Amino acid sequence: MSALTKLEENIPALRRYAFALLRNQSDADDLVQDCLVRALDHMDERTGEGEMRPWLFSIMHNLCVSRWRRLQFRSSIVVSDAEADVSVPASQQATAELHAALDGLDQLPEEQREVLLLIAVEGLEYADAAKILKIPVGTVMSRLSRARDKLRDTMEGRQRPALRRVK
Amino acid sequence: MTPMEKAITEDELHAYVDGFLNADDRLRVERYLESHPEAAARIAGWQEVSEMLRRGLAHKAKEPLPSSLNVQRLAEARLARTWQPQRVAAGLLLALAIGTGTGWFAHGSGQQTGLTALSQQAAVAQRVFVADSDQPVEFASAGLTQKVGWSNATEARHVTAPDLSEAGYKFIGNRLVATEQGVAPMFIYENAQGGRISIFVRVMEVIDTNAPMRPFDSKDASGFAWSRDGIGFGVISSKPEPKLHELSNQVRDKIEIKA
Repeated sequence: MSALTKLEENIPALRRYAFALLRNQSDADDLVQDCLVRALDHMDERTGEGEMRPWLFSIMHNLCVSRWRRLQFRSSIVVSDAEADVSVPASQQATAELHAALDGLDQLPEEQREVLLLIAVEGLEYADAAKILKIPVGTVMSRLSRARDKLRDTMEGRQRPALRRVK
Repeated sequence: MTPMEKAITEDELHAYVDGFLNADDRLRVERYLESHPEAAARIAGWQEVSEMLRRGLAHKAKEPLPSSLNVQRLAEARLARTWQPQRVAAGLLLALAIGTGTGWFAHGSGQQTGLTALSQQAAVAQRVFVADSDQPVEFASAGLTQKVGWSNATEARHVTAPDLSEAGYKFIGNRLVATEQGVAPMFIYENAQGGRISIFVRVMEVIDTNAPMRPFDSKDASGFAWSRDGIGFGVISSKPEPKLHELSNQVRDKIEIKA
């Protein structure tokens, strides 16, 4: 399989990741394009050095970090209405499911959000996630625990408000 | 608590949820969960969280990709970027074309390039020349072989459109469309119900010179576009035609390009 084909295969996942973090499709696509351009620039230097997927996500993470730094205050990025950003006509159920996922992610601080997305959605291994985010594996695991417990509580609370557990 | 159970760590619980455990460890964790309902409930919750996120975001990963993320195109743009003189020349040409107003299509296609531009040109041409079947047929029937591109250009080539009569479409004539890339022939076909489809062919420059087939939709028409060896093709229908993809595949397989 050619490197370009491999790169191409990863685009839907990169787009999904970028969208989940930025909430705006055109910003997400700009970021993915930057990521692809960088990947193309450095493709030759990368022969036989592990999987392409974690490598692409680490480029993506770096781009996100520099973007956040540039924007300085994350809170000013108004979380846009996800519905407006669904670029293809999505079914009502699809839209509802997307909103549920985005609402869930909203409960988490940025650092936990990234960990959870990389592992639970993108299926990356813990060691790869640690390398991508440039943190120790132990930190990945503790963020993962906090993120999962937090969202579990939220989901339970939503399903059975009367029985909501107080921690 | 048995010593075996003591060995279960929180990391292993995550690895269980994420499918990273081998069969033995998975069994160990499962046994542990059977006897620890609190932990089992927690794990079930984690699994629900993963499922909820994956399901919600899966819709995003299934969307068609915008043309700005076409890898082939980005790779070619990158080559062009590193080769400055050509880039400047191309920019000048484009500026001239727009500046002197030669390009009706240059305006119409805006900033778009490659297959996206071709799709738009094809859809507009279809609307202008083909869509209205009340209009008397005024196509010169110059045959199935036509020149593509500029006459004096070394890369000018001939295409031979296929016979689609087996698929129910009879060839009824041609139209020549003026594009920035030279002559672009259209081959027009009609079925027994008067439905018309056309094949639009033009030279592709720099971008999308070899691109796989992809669908397009505009307010004028919908169809499929692809390119091969620097020649781009569009198969267009103004009315819904369920067989259009199949027809496009036939056209792609049968159409011939010659020098």
